Amino acid sequence: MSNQVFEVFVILKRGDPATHVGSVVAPDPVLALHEAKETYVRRTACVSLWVVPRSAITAFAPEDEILFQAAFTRDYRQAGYFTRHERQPVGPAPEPDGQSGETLAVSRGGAVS
Amino acid sequence: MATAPVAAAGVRPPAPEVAEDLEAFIAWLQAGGLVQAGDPMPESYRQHALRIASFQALAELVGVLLFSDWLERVPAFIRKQMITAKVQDEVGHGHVMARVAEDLGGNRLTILEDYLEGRSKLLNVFHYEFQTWPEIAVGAILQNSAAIVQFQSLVKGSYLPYVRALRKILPEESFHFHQARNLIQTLLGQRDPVVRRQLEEGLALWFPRVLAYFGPPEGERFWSNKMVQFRLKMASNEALRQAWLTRIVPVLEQLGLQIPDPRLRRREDGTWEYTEPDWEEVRRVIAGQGPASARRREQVRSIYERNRWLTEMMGIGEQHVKPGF
Repeated sequence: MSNQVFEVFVILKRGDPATHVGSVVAPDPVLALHEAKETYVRRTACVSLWVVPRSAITAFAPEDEILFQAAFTRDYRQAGYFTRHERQPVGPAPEPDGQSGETLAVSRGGAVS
Repeated sequence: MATAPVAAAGVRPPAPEVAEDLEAFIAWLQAGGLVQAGDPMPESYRQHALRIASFQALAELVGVLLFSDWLERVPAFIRKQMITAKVQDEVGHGHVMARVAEDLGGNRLTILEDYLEGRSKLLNVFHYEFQTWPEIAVGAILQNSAAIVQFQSLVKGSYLPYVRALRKILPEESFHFHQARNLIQTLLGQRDPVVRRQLEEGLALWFPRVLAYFGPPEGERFWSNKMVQFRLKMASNEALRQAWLTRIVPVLEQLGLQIPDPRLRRREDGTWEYTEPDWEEVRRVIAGQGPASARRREQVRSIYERNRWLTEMMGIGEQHVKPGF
């Protein structure tokens, strides 16, 4: 019998996202599901439990995290960027943070007081 | 800003050149670096993380035998159900920790075999057994509160899969703590002088054992411990013992139990004075000379042999897929 690692995901409330909680080792998905239930949700009320063979998961390598970090330097793509600047006096569009932060801070302060 | 580098180190895996240089890796950990399964890590770090996960898996699996021994003798059905729940929890913790160890290259059968063949040792408290039912109540509350204090410190450590396992375990330990306190209250409520005496005798036996459970003070050696440098051990033995006393003494006093340590008092600076455990005796017990040391090993051996057909059929202990994230 050949065993596999199954990653375990729990959904605590209907509508919640599935959250990774750990893993189990089992020869097939049904046994994996039973072991996952005993090990991870014995004392927890939950609405669903998933087991996924680890080999079925495709993921970026740890060092590739940098790919996602890059997006966050372009903060004008995020909603928070606009709320940060909404007290800005009418004028030219603000520069993205980190490029002319100092002038922005001054003009923001001015608008509040 | 002092906190900025900590946050920055925690969000990224170690750079490959940091993971290859032990000193650079330790500096990165000290700056708040956190390690995920599958991250590049020095071999020595992997071995230490494996040792701590295997040690805890063994403690969970063997520690439960003190309680499962009593399942046939529990005097009330509801208490039997509660102890069963505790036993299930501890075995579950053993499985969760065994998975952490397996993703580091360990193997759950090896964890048991290392103990059976004397390559690994048990904590001092597991070398004893309970003689009376009230003794279980005080033994459990002291052991559980000690474990909670220890886990609350370890949960701040650097190896994230171990940290996640502890986060799952902690609420269940809290349940066991409340269960033990409730049992003491119930037993005291019987107003039976024999039961009260058994509780006090149990406390007299277990208080010094759990004081010793945290290990002798390390002094200056603390910082040369690789577990500390790797941020896998987060507080000194003495700091944990002090934190435990701060936690447990008021609980025992509130229950109306007399703590059988004539030297126990809180100093002006808030630290506790207590009777120093006999560390020679503790070493002897851990080395296998405790009253239940031999029996415990035999119990584990017989469980190991009895389930051999199953572990073989299930292929337990085979090498598994490497963690991918």
